[in-house]
Formats: sequence, structure tokens, C-alpha cells
Amino acid sequence: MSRLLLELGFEELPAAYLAPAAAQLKDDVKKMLEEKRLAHSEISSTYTVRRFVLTVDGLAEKQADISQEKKGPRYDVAYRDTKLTDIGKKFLDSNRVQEKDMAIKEEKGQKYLYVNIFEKGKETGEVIAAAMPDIIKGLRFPRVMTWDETLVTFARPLRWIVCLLDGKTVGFNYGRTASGNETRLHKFIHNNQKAAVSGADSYFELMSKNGIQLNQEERKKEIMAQTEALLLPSGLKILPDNGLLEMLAASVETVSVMAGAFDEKYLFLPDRVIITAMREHQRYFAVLKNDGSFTNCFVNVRDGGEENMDFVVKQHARVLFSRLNDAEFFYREDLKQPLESFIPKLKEAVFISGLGTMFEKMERMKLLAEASAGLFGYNDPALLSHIARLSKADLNTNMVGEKEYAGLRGFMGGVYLEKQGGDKKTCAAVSEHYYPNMVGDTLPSTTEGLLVSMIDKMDNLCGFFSAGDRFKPTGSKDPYAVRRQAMNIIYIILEKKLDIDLEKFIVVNLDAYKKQFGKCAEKSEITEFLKQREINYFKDKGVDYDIINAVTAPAGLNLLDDWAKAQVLMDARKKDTTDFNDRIFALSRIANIIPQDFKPGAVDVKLFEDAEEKALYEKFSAEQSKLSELIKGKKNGEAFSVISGFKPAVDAYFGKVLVNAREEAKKNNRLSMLSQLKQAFGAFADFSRIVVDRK
Amino acid sequence: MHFQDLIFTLQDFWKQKGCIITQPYDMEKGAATFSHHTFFRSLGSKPWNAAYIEPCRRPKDGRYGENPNRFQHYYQYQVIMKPAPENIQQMYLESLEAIGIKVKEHDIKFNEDDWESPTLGASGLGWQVWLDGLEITQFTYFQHMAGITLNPIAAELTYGLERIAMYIQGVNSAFDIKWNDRVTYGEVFLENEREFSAYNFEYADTAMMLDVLNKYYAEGCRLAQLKLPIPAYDFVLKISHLFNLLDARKAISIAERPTYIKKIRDLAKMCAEGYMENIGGAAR
Repeated sequence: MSRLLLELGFEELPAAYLAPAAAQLKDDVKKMLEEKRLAHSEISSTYTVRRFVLTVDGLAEKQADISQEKKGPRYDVAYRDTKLTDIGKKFLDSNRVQEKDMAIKEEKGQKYLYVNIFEKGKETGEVIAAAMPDIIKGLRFPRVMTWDETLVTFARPLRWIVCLLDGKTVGFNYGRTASGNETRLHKFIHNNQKAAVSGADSYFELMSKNGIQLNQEERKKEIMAQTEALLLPSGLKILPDNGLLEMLAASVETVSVMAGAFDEKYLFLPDRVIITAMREHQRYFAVLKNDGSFTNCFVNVRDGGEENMDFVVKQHARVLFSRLNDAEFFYREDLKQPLESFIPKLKEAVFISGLGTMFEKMERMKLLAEASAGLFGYNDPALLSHIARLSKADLNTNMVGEKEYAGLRGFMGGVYLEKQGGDKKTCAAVSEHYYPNMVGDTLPSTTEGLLVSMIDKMDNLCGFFSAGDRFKPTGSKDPYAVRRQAMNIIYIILEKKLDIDLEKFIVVNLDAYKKQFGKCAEKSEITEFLKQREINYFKDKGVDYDIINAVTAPAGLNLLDDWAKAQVLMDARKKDTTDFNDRIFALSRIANIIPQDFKPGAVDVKLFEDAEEKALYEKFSAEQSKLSELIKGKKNGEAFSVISGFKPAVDAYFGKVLVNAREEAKKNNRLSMLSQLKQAFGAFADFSRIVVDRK
Repeated sequence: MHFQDLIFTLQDFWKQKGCIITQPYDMEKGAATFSHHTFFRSLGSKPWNAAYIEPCRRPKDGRYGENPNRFQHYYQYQVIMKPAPENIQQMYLESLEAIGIKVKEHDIKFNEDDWESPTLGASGLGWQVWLDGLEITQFTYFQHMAGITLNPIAAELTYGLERIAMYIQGVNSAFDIKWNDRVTYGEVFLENEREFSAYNFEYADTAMMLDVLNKYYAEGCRLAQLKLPIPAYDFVLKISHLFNLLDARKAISIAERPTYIKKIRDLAKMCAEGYMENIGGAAR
């Protein structure tokens, strides 16, 4: 049994590229070993910002031999006039078999050429050397580059490769880089010095001795431990930020945590401004007191030792100082004028090319807000319109207009309004109207915020569809994140149980586009798109696909209703699957027996023959209006128990009644009756779409 | 280390590494990448190793000399090596040592940066190099120039000289940088910043500029068609600077921006293709 060590050494890769590629490397090597008939036990991979490391344990010393019979072309194709044709020759040559060594066998009356091939297993090192370049090439990165004349690709230049099988070099090239037994030590601490290793054990020992931490989880733990040691004695802690922790740990090979402070005078700035300056620009953690209050401290991670640390920390503080200085300038400038005075500048900002400016978008949002009583049953349309008018004003402030603080849009508007004496509802709604950014995010905390957020997103959705094909999502491509707009609308409606007429909402929004630009998308395009997203949303939430199909089958957009019905059906299925299956099976028999083109007429009770038939119809006649009331009243649980309560009667019916009777009149009468049931039940869901597994 | 010694040291360092030390190209430009020494020389297969200081102009960044970190005129120190040496990162770190920045005594990070210049139709992958949290260098492996896929690949190092000097000298304003032991950066450039900011933001004649911009574009196209890509490229530089000036005066709407940028890019592409043809290496 052998042990393989592979190390790919490269110039610093983007932090986000590392984990997926290291995982892929492991998967691809595993796949390759299996394809190449190389037995092995454990495979593991890990990474730092400048290396991927992979080991394979218990690796076989050579491939298994194979010996097998291989079928070739038909005899009459391989031979003409008892002589080999080109096709026949090619088959033998490609398998390196002489004519005398082949066999002819008959199969279903046809003769075929057969050869025995034997492939001797190759040495493991040879197989791996041959396979490795393609595995490296196949690693997927968001962007790749070339760096030498061989034009091989990687996310950054690949500078060294260690590939050892029990200490013996497995030789191959990737571009100009040849594999060997020499790794590199730390780039700063050891000047990137080369060091030979004799195998996996010696490699890991060397790395650990030189303080290079190969494991991301270990680095994260180390960052947290050092941070705690620095902060805890002063009663401080970092503002938890997993994304930043992940990124910092993936940017270093050694961990040295530092804590510094900026001038307290900047604490008057909103916390989020300071956090943005620290997090987005400088990659620093914000620091809180144990009671949760914000402090003027920051925490950063350094790679390459602790020399000169006091000076380094002071330098970091200086950089932060100049960033906060800029932020202070923007903030004070912005507050010199009321937020609303920034509104006219929206005329200079393009919304979607061909669909005017942000000012025109704001006007549409106002219009929808003014219609909010009718659209959403909201009781203060004047307030909502006021909020819509102010919602985008901060885009032109110094702070948000600056690229680095663009992520604070909405929030800054809220802050400025508050400073200028705006009412609470307006401030909160402006501040939060970009929420949620994606499904699962925090939602706006006020009704006004929710409604403006929904209006904003619907207007984006209608806009992209109205602007032309190049904005619409196709296949896996959705450069303008149009799908996300729709998902967010669905998320808001379902989370907050907003009982609104979506179709009317869409129509009013599209009309606003039409008035401004003389063009707009078709309503059906938007409703169909939303319906498809609804299906995806349900899927993501774990609703079974067949139940999704059943509840979304009725026409129109009824998100809340569909969701509630899906829950009823899922619960019923979970509670007693056999019983559920039996009931659905009975219901689906009704739909299945009615021909697609059948035109139901009036039901004539006099044509009934069997007691079961009469009983079913009587039950239906007695419960029909109650059922339709329940469905209309959205009492979905009760409605489903009424419908599924028909099961015994339906079973008895099909047990006795021959629906397709010989007499046309009787047959049509029966189908007409069943059609009434189908229609009444179908108002709840299309039960025939539910997959029933009855064993 | 004085500002001028910083430059001398870098010149000497890169001279030792085999670069020719060239001089700036005598026209306005927004970045050292626009210089012939980088734009044309990154094209084609012939090796090219050069280092030069390049004055850059970004009209929009002027602040009348009132902001310690922002100016409409500043210097970049540019190194371009083609093909990119295998140890170019190590060479860069050595250059920091040469100007007195001991790598082991600092927090140095290579933070990912996908560089792109829409006006030149150029892009590359690399990093921003951070020194104790301060961005001091843009490090790029060029992949495309003027829309042409490059091979061999050049490495471009662009040092922000004022930032580095401020850091080394421990001053909080670029205007306090000591040029030598008697003269400050402010004595050399403060008045320049005030007057150019006024010109860029208030007095530039936008109608005249729009007029010449179109004429320069036509002239550039004419020269490119005459297979004179190098003179034609002068007009890329001219219209690119005019565009930046008009932009500072807010005379170009957001909607029009892409149209102008495309004009410059298209002309740059004609120059690059013409150049490739003239040096006998057709564009791939």
C-alpha cells in the first residue's frame, strides 16, 4: 500500500476560490482513481491562500490487470469475399490482435468478430502522472488566466508542484512547472525558501514546524482564540462576522491577530458607516463591549509573524483614520441640505437603459403607493407616497454616491431623514426598503417598509421585462438578477401573509410604464414568470413536486392559497401516507376516467341505476355548497377533509358502477356527474397530479 | 527617504533587474498603462522589460489641494516585464526592501483584484498589494490589451509613489512629503492643484472640447487607416483626456458615457491591430 502526496503551489488565490476548488480536487482524484482501477482508502484535501494539498492513503501499487472479450463489427462488414475490409482491419489493429487470434461468434443469427484483450495494469505512479495535468486543468474557478507561453490556465500562476508516491517523485508538467519534491516555505518569514520533502509525513511535519497552518478550520479557531486573548481581559469582543472570518482565514498561512483603535471622535458616525469602512475596505472586525455597545477598536489578522507589531497596528489605524475622515466629510456635507433636495438629481441616473431615469422610477413607485388602498388594503396612501418619493434620494448623496459606501443605500436615507426630523415610520421604511436582498434575509420591520420594498421590486421586475429580451433571464444566465426580484416578492408575500391581488398590482405597474414610455411587457409574461418562481420557491421550501403541481394547477396567481393548500396536503401525506394515498387515488380515479374532450351536460338522477351512484351524488349535492364556501373562505384544512371524506363513497361507486355503460345516455350521465365532482374538487387542487404509490 | 530618492532607488533597482529605464511619454494620460511603453509593448511576442515614472492626470480627483490624499495630478512608477518572470513576486518584494520596507516587519497582503480598463479594452488578473492596510501597488498579469488576447503575458507593477512616500516619511498629507531636505511636494504641486482643479471643474470650455474631441477622433481613425498606428494612438490619449475633463465638468451624461468609452476603445483597437501588423505579428 502506498501514500500519495500532492501539493499545488501558486501565487495568492482569491479567498473565495479556495474551498470549492480543494473539494473538487479531492472528488476528481477519487473519480480518476476509480476509473483507472486503482484501489485506495482515504483521500483528503486542504488549502491555504497559496497551496492545495491532497493525500491518498492505502493506494494500490499498480492497476488491476484486465482481461476481457471485446465485440467487434459484424462479419459481413469486416469481411468481403473472405478478405478483411478496412473496417475489419481497423478493429484488429486498434486492439493489437492478429487475424489468427480472433474469434467469430454468432448472436441472434448474425456473426460478429470477437477478440480477447488483455491489459496489464500499469504502475500507480505512471497512471497518476498521466492523469494529473487534466485534473489540474479541470479545476473550476470563476476566472482563469494564462501566464507562460504554454498557455495552461489556472486562477493565478501555478509555481510549484510536489507529487510524491511514498517519497518517489511522480513526474509530470503543468505548463512550464514540473513536479518534484520541493515545496516552498512561508513567503515572508522564510523568503519563499525551497525545501525538499521525502513524503507526506515529512511534508506535514515541515509545515507544522514552520508555523504554516494548512487547515482552514484550524486557522479560524486560531484567529478566534488569539482575538479572545487580546480582547477578553478588557471586556471586549468582536462583532461576529462569519463571512469576514472565513475570508481572513483563507488569506493567510500563519495567524497573528492584532487589535488597534481609531480616534474616538468618529464614534458619532452611524455604526454601519464605521463597520463598512472597516469590513469592506480594510477587512477589520468591529469590536463591541460585553454589553454590546460599539467601540473605537478594530481587529485584523496578519500573515508572517509578529515583528514590529506596534508600528504595524499604528499604520493600520492611520489608514482607517483617513477612511473615516472621508466618511465624516461625506456625512457632514450631506446633512447640509435636506434629503429631499437630492431628488431632482435622480434625473441624471439611468434606471434601465431605454427605460428612463431613477426619477421616473420614483414617480412610478409614488403612483403605486397612491393606489395602495385599492391594491393592498393599506390605509394611508399619502404616507406611502411620501415614503416612495424619498426612498431613492440618498443615491445621490456624497456618502452613497461614493462607490465604497454604495451598500448603505436606503440606510443612509433613513439616517439623514431622522437627523432632519423625519417621522419614525418614514425613516424606518426608507432605511429598510431594499430588504430583503434574498430569500431568508431579514424583512423590513414596518408595514410601510414592506409595501415600498414590494413596489420597488415589482417595478424592477416589470422594468426588466419591458426593456427587452437582453434583460430577461435565460437558462442559467440572469445577469440582472431578475429571478431574485421575483423570489423576493414571493418571499415577502408568503412570510407576511399579504393577501393582495398580484395580478392587479402587475397591471397597474405595467400601465405606469406604458404611460411613461409608450411600451411595456405583456402581463402574462410577468404572471407566468412569477408562477414559475412560485414553483421553485415551494421546491426550495421542501414541498413535494407533485403536490406543487397539484396546487399550482388552477389558473391565476394565488400564492397564499397555494401555500396553505400545499401545507394541508403535505401534512396529510406525512401524517398517514397510506391513508393519504388511498384517498388521493380515489379522487384521481374521478379525473382519470373522464375523457379530455368530454362535454358534461345536466345530470339526470332518473338515469341512475345503482345505490352507490345515488349515494355518491346525494353526498355531493348535500356538501357541494359547503365545500365551495370553505374553499372561498380559504378554510383549506376543512375543505380537504370534506373532499377526502368522499373516499368511501367514491370507492363504493367504482366498485359497483360501470361508468362506461353501453347505453350512451347512461354513460354520459355518469360522466357528467363525475365532472361536477371533478370541477368542485379541482377548485382546491388538481388531485390527478399527485403521485400515488400504492403497494 | 526623500521623494526623489524613492524614485532613484526604484530606478536603480529595476535597472539591476534588467529593465531599461525609460522616460514618460509627453502627453496627458490617466494611468501609466496608457504609455506606449506599456500599451504597444505588451503586444506581440518580443520580450520587453522597462521601468519608468509616469505623471498621471485624473481631472475628477482634484480637490483644490485641500484633501491630503486626492489630487488631479500624481505619479505612478511603472514596471512592465514581458514575459512575466517566474519570480516576479519575489522581485517586487525585494524592491520594497530596497526602498526600506522590510517585508518581515510589516503586514503585506496580496489581495485579489481583477483589473480592467474599459477605455483600452484591457484586462488582467492580479492583486492590490497592501502594506499595513494601505494599498501601495497594483500588480497585474495582463491577459488582453485593446481586445487582443496576449501571449506572452506581461506583468505590470504600478506603484503609487505619493502613498509610499507618505508612508515612509510618516506624513499625513502628500503636500508634506519631503522632495529633498529643503523642498516639499506641496511647494512643487499645491498651486498646480488649485489652478487645475479650478480649470477642470469650473473653467474648461466644454463646447470647444466636444468639438475637438470629435475632430481628434476622426484624425485618429484616418491615421489608423493609413497604417500609422503610433501617431494614431496620440489621438487615443488626447480624446481619453478630453473625455476625463468633460466628465469632471459633468458635461457627459451617464447615458452617453458608454458611447464615448467605446469610441476610445475602438480607436485603441485599430491602433493595436495596426501595430501588430506593422511589427509582423498578426493579431490572434
